[in-house]
Amino acid sequence: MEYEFLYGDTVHRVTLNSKDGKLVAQIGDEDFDVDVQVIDDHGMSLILGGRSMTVFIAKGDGKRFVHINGENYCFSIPGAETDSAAVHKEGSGGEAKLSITAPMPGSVLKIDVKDGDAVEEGACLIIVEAMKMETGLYSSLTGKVKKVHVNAGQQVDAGQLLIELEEN
Amino acid sequence: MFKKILIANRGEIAVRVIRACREMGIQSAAVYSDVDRQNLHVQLADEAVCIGEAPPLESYLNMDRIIDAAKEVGAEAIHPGYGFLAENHRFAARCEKEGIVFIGPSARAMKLVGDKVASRKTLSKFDVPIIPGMKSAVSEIDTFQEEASRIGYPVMIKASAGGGGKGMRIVRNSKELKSAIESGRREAKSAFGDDSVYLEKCIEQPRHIEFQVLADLHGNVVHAFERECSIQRRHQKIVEETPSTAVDPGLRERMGRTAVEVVRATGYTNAGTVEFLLDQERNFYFLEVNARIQVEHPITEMVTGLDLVKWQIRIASGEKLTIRQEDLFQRGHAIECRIYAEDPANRFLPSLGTIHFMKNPEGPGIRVDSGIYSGCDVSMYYDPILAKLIAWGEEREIARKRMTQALKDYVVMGIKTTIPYLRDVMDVPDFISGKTTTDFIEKNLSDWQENEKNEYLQAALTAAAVFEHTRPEFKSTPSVETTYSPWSILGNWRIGERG
Repeated sequence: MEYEFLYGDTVHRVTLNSKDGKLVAQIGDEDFDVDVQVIDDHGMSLILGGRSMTVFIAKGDGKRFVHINGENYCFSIPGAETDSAAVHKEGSGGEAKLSITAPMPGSVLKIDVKDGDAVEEGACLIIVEAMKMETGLYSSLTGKVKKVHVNAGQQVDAGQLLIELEEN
Repeated sequence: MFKKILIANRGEIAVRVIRACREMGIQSAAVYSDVDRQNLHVQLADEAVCIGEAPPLESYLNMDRIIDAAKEVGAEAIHPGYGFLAENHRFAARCEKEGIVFIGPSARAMKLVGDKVASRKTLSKFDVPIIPGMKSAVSEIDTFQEEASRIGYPVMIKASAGGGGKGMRIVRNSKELKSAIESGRREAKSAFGDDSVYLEKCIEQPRHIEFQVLADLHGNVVHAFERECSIQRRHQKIVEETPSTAVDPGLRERMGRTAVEVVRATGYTNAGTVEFLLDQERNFYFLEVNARIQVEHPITEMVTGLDLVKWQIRIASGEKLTIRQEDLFQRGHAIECRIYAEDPANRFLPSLGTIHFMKNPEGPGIRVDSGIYSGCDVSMYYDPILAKLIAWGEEREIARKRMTQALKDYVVMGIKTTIPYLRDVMDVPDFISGKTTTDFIEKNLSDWQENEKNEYLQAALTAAAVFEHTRPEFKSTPSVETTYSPWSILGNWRIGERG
């Protein structure tokens, strides 16, 4: 039985096999003898290559969360990317600086610019508030405001387009 | 004693107050906004009343709705928790008018200490050391400019109405002053419903040390020693401990005496906190009185054995303090870490969503004050505090090691939390040696990134695969189609189930 998990930028393939009545996990080219005791819906005891560990695991938002001894892993399933992963990619892309998007769900507190305004690099464009914390979003370029897509007081979702900029 | 108390708050502090009520045989009534129906405090209280929509002004800051709810359920007293209406003297006065006991100081004392400018004026007649600054909150920017140049930069902008770092800004030169005042005002307005701010001299590299006090309605006042709260991020405390590594018995005695004097001079009653700054030369300055139960009150409870929330209720009901100053001792050492729904690797932006699974740490000396559970949602409307983790030990290093292990054992899945960051705080050499000043974070952890720890990656991948395999509802997820039945491939191997 083969499973694929995306961790960071790497796809890991895990194959579960039975060998002499025991479970063997093949990860990449390596084989690991595994002994598993399921504790409950979210807990399992794992002995992997002789090391005993308690594993907590949960599924949600299209991801798999695993906690082992203070380390947290978040896997996604290749080909089934979640919305937030897509947003993340857009945010780190080269074109993204022309689009100012909400970093988290919240409400628009104050908009410092309007359509057509000239902006300098580092200028504060808009302030978004969530959980009573203000977060200012700044221009990473010197140019012009193409369009403001939101109004002060409006609720916005993570990744929602707030302001479009254009370069001079 | 009261028969029923309404708790005008949410989250972990509402849960804390409900626990105190249960132990005292008092009925508890929760209030909640429409997005908080599933919040833990609603589940644990004996009664619950929906008081409005999610924005705080519609619900937890709405005095009319809260008073109506108290009357509806027949509560004789209201516990305000911290934040929201806890330090709003108008609310305390309204309760007094409506014949409901406000569990906290009188409206008059609260108004006095809540207005940092007015309290400073009152205390200047007493032997209480005070930081140079403005005598009143004003609206003209020019007055701020003049005052700032008179006392010299850097200066601090502070909200008259509240604490917790909300509305607070440090200003290093006159160019930054105007925008700092504006943004401080906005934040103060949103957090406390009052946008007045004032300015004072900024003491560099201080320690933030506060004293817990208890004062009854019969003139008895005790202090329950200090809490060291110097580890702050954006003026928001994240780790607190007691005793402070900077306070020796002589200094403790002097600061404690001053704290009691502040309480007496202002006519303050109930539980409160007197905040001080301690400078490099070990001079201390009175900062303000926090007229509420503090987020970090559990560490005091751990070392003194007092139950501060119960004492709040007992004092409000008119009971006399039965403890004398000479009865109080600090036993061992306690540390608290605040667990926030924030992403420490991404500018501490709020991390919202569903907690798919969580598990509290446990063990000797570990206490968790929590408002979350597996399956709950973390909403954007309120303060991002989820829980507080407290570790006690016979000595500081034992408490620190217990905290480190407990943070490791703390499982929260689905949202980002400050847990990995706090683990690193515990390991900073300056923390280990007790060199904690308010610039600790800036100095030691300003560019924090989570360590790439892949020690358990293979185990995690194996566990994830086993999880997919054993959970039939996820059968669709294997992305590589196989023509064999999984059970024929796996033969007679089976996963053990707990018998």
